[in-house]
Amino acid sequence: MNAHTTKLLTEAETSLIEVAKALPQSQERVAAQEALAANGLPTRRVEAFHYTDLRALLKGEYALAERPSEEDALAIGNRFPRLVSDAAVLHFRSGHYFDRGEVLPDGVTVRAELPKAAKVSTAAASTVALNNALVRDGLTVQVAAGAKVDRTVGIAHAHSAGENTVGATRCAIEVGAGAECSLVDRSVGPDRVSYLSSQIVSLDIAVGSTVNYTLSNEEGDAAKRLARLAVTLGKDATLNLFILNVGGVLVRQEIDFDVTGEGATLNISGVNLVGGDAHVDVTSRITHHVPSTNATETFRNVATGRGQGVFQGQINVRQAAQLTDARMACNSLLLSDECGFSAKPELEIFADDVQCAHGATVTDLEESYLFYLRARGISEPRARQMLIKAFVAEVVEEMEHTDLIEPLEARIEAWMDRHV
Amino acid sequence: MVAVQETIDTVKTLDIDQYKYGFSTDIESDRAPKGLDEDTIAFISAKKGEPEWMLKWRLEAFERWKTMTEPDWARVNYPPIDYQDIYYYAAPKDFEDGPKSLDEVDPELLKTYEKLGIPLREQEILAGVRKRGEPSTLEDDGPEGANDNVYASGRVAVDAVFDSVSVVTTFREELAKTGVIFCSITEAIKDYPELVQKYLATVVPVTDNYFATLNSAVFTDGTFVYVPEGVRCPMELSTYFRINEMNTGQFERTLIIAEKGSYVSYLEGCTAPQRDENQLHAAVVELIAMDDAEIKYSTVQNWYPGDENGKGGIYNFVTKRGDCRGKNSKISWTQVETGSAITWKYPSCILRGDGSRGEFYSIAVSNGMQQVDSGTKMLHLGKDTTSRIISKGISAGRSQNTYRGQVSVNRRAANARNFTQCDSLLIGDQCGAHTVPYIEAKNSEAQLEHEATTSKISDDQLFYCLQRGIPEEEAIALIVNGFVKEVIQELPMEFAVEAQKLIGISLEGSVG
Repeated sequence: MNAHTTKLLTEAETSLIEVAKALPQSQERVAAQEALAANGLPTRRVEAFHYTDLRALLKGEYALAERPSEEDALAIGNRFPRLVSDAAVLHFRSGHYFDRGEVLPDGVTVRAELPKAAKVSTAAASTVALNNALVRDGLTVQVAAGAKVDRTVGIAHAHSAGENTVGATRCAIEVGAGAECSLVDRSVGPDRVSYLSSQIVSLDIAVGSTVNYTLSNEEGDAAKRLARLAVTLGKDATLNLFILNVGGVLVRQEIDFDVTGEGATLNISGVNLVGGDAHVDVTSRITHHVPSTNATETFRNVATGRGQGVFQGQINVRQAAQLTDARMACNSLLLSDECGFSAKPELEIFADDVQCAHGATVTDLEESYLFYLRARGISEPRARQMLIKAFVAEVVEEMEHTDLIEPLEARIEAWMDRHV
Repeated sequence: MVAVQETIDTVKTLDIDQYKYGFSTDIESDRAPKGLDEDTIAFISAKKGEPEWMLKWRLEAFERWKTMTEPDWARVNYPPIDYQDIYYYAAPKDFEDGPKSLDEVDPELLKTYEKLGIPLREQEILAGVRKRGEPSTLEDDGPEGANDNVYASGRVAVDAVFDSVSVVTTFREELAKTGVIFCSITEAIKDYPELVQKYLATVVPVTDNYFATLNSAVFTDGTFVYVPEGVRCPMELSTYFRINEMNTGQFERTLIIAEKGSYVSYLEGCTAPQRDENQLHAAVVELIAMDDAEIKYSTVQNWYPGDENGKGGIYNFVTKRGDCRGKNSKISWTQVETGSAITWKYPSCILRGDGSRGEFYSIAVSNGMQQVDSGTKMLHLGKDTTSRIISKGISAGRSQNTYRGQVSVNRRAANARNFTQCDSLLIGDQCGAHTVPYIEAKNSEAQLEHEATTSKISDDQLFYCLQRGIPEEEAIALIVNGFVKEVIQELPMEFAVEAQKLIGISLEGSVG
């Protein structure tokens, strides 16, 4: 059921359309407004949003976040220490790009122009349409063919505007043939401020390149985040992707992969920590178009408080994609009486000579492990923390981008101190 | 590997599209006028001699159905169904005249039974020549009295449903001795209205879904089973469903109630003739298990799947649901799905009683142009409820085979436990195998495990067999039977053999 039956627009829908109308109009923006006016935000009846009823969850009357002053922009950046000290960082503040004249590593060029609108697949229509309607600033980052980039390149999103403001960005990252690079895409914002952040990144990885990409969502605890990462993977290319979700009260993170080159390898792992009243939805789709490609996907989720976690993961193997090896695992821990977790790991296979598997588990902390630790004199809260930490550390420690292991572990620990 | 040689022999005698039950029986039949309106429903109700409340119930369902739209979320494609182009009622005409011997029975009907593999003695009863207990008119080939002990194993009481009516139910008197009611739903409405009124549509509400509502309005027959408190049903109960008439739909309704501490095992088999048109089958099955009761429901579904180009075949849109209403009750679904052009079927368990258990074992084989979208729902509502799902999908030809299942744990369902395993096997590069599980946990004490795999028959296994002189086709049958073993072993003996044969037959021609 992908049909909408609703016609009356909610306050949020109306205000978002108004925001879009006030911006300079382009063909895509007009089309996006029309789509939004006609369909509204997706409800449960749209299969891709089965567990995230955006129409019900996205409340508020939104206004566009104004461009902060240079001082404010600097100030907010200083409140959040860098993840990687020597990284070259590109700054977005409340959806506006700030060129700080950052010295870029050799082989990397940046153009401060809005990349082409993302192509819209039906499943992602709403996330993309919303971004098309609201986006103002964007970047195109290019990594030259054959470049071995020695420093991490970071894209830092920080929101500093007030309550019910909306910021939207769109970035395109093009990695040339045979290049190697590490990228960090991080979002931060103040707690207790209900803002909306819409982010789209497209990442094209050409023949034989290796990319480490880390997405760290550390938005404020009342933030709403609708983000999408769309990846195209060429022949013999490798992507090591890590996703950390520790922030936001409403998060929809779409990750979409088109594996279009033979011999490509995709390693995805992630940690989703869902506490308080948060609703965190990670929706992934991997499409294998050509033969002999590999994909592994491992997610560890922890839900507590009244947090609701969602993982939807689809592996789609096209008929031509013989010899695909695709594996997915989604393990979730439920720690409180009122939290919940929903998983929909899907396999859609049209080729016969393949090995595809997925596994999903949901459970609470193993009593015998707790007992083991308590029998050694470790207090229960401490023992619980140790076990949860070990559960998520397993995937964090495996990260290819080793510089990030320690800083991300620190973020995870901060979350645990607050929620567990 | 009982079935292998037998399977191959059987196949040699078959047509290209390999459907064994594709014959049709040329029997004069009594039909309702084509199309669906209040008059059709009144006609069906009058034919069945139903009380007023039943007609009212049907009409209310029909009113509701008119406001509903056909669901389109399943991964199946078919041209729109013209619900006015179907006969909603068809009954073999000569039935009540009571033939005196098998010679007088319409030979076409007898042929049908013979082809269905129903033994001659049973055929006599089914054809209404004699009642159970009367001496057979046939030359004796063994003392029938040997069967008189109702606890003897290996016997099956049969209810045969031919198009819209239940033609006869066997072993009824012997079952009655233990208090078990086993009859057609039409008879139950007349004879046990209080039981029917109490339980009908309490598991699948009239408004549940498009096809269930349609069924509520027009259901023609089906089976009713009531097992009283503490009774272990002495034999397997079985229903054979057959769609015979052209352009008819079959809408059967089955209601099984197992009272406290009782046990019943029920088998269901289905076949249909080979026709170029698509025929509609929209059944509703409701199971109710009280405290400590257990219901085991097994299906071998072998409706006509259509020819290799997808012409003809049955649309099988079925709502099956069991309600574990009592403490420590258990409902187990086992299904072997080899037939139907389109299958849309999700036998489910509502685990309401504390400590109740739901099981689902499924083999879905698709070949040719078949489309299967099947799976289960395990809804954990009570404490300490457990469920287990084993689903084996085999796709061949140009078929699409989808497992769609839901495991949901309610906030109050402390200590709920589920294990799900979905394996798919692909034979050939034109088919598809899909897995769509929905896993929803709202209680932190829940423990849910889900795993799914998709692969083809491994070259190593095949090589191993070939090297030992087993021909390729037989080797594949061997490996496939190994793949589905976990489910086959859940089936009662009679069905297990049949199921193994069916799987072999369904996959014939898919190799190479």
